[in-house]
Amino acid sequence: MQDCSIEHTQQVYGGGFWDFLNFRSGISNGVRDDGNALGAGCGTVKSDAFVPDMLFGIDVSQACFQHDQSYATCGFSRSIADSNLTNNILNDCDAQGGSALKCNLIAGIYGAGVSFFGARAFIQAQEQGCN
Amino acid sequence: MNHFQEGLRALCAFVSWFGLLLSSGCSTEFWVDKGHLDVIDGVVFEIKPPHLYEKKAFKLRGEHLSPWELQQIANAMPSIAAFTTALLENGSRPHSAISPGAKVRSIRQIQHLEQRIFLAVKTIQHWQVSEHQIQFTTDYFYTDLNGQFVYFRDNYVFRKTNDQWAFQDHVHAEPEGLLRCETNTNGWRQCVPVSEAN
Repeated sequence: MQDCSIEHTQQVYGGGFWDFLNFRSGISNGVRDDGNALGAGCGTVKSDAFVPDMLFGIDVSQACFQHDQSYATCGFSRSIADSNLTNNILNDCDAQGGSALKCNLIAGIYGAGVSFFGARAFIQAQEQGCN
Repeated sequence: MNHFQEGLRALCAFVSWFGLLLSSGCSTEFWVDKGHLDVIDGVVFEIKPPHLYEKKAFKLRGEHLSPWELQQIANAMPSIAAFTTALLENGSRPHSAISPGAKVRSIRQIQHLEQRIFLAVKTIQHWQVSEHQIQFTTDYFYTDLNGQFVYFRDNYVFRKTNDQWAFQDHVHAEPEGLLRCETNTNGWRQCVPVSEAN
């Protein structure tokens, strides 16, 4: 009988349906792989498990964590925080060897995400940060 | 599989994922972080405001800490988080989490960072805990003029006096300094001091 690893199986049959996304939340068994608390990357404590810290093989966790911290800094401008997020993802993605298409796509997705869903988070974080 | 099928597969996967993101976005609960309780080996950590993100940066798993050591860190967490916030903001401002007479290094002064440059915390880790003292390192990061992240590590000693934890001194006379971060085989960034990397 021959032993087959997942890697070997993927070499023979190709990867899974989602594999090309290289989507990772950085969570295993309900805790973050990096040992930090939930929400110390992309997403909040409740959304950390499905908002990816890695997309298309690019680690965007630091750009997200900086964005979260700037939201929570009293008096920080939301538009600057959002624009920094997009620029940081673009530059960090480039530094990690991402193509221009891939980096712009990732930055666009996260930029759109904070534009759509960031308003309440910003208000709440400012209330916490200014008290 | 031809290019059309590959493209269709990619499009379907992306639309499904983005749809999931949008649907969960209907509940603002997913995007507003009010903090939580984190329980590690029976020890409760209040990952809540104030200083929510400094508390989230505490690396407490994978550090081989006993429940007693975890409890000591849990007790010191509010002081360490407040101290970290003060360092991120300026570094020279007097703070209750600093023992009288203790001198703390300013990351902004060491790295010549203007106040407009946003300094953030990445990880607080490398814990060494005794009854009256806790040592740890803090990794900071900021965006340089070229738009690249710069990572920097310093070390700290907190001491307990009259049941209050406060910064006492640095572990070493110098900070570990700049970090070199490289992606591991899983694609995650791992950072070591430049002095150790060479």
